[in-house]
Amino acid sequence: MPSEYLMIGEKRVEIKDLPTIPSVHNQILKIIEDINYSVEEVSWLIEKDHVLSSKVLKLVNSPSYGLNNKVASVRRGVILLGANLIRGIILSTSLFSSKGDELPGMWDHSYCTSAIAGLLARRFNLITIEELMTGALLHDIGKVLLKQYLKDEIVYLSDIVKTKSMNMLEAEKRLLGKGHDEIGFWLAEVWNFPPIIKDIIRYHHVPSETKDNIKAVSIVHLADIISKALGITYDADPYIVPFDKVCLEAMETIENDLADILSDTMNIVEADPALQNYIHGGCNGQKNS
Amino acid sequence: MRKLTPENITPGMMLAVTVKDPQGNILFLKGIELTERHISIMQGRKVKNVIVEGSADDNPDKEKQNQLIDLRFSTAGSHPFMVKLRDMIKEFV
Repeated sequence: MPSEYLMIGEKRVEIKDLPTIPSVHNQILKIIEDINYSVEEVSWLIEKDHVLSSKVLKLVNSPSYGLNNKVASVRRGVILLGANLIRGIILSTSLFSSKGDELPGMWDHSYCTSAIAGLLARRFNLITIEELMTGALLHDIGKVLLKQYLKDEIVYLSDIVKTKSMNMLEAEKRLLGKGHDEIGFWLAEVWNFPPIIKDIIRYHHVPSETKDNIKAVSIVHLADIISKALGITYDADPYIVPFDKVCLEAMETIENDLADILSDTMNIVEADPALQNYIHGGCNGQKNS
Repeated sequence: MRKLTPENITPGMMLAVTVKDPQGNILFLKGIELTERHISIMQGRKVKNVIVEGSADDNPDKEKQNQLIDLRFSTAGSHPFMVKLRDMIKEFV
């Protein structure tokens, strides 16, 4: 059982204060908890929300899904993506862009990381691809709590990152005593996410510390780095966190496959004007929208 | 390596990375010498990027882009794999 509250720096965040999820989104989350959920009902609710609909179609049509024909119906998207990814899309949509608390770049970074993770998972024969892509979509969920409850500290964090050229994780640890990975893990426990998704959130910066899911967590670690290397990132957080070399053991042929992976990654980027904007925007790792 | 659009390719260039269409189907394997026929097929299949052998022409935009990539990697540690990734990313963007 997760503890009833989490101390972040001097701030006490309680379970009862956690971010709320819009009621339609909540309704869908409740429905897909049932293993025998109705695809029709879920599709109908998603179709009413054009943001969710477009995200479902974007993800299912990304090259990481490797489908030959474009999927145009939300219903087919729901079937192909499965309950876990639908849950990930809804949670990330609700949390990353709640009104007045936008996290610029968070959805794009999360989507891009998830799509690259999907490519890597296919290449390295990981069978839990749906959970992996969901974990990748939610890997930075701890930043939502920081943004929501520590508004002043967020400003200091951005300043530290800029003036000291330090990566965000290190700045968080120095200022608050814990990073977004640890904070996100608490949320994942409160919301009872599957173990592999909890591990991805907790260890995506240090996959060598995970016990059971080294391959999956390594994949998200590398996907996160590639996404940042391309400048597709949360705009106060341009710096890459140090590489964990356990990735080279988890993905043995990665050095030889890197050019192919990057070529496929560019296909994901070129298919999406929002992502292209980061690369051709010509700004310092920040969104130019 | 350098990244080009099919329109900017001239016959005789060597393919450095396997070309896929936007759906992910493999069109041509790396290592082949490109001909007019390859180029027109890539245009027909709406391929956007092709990575060929050879180094990129110098231009100020490219230099600025490379500086940004160096900046992002400045905190990534010095593992040889990160150096390789950084240099390859520069070729691809």
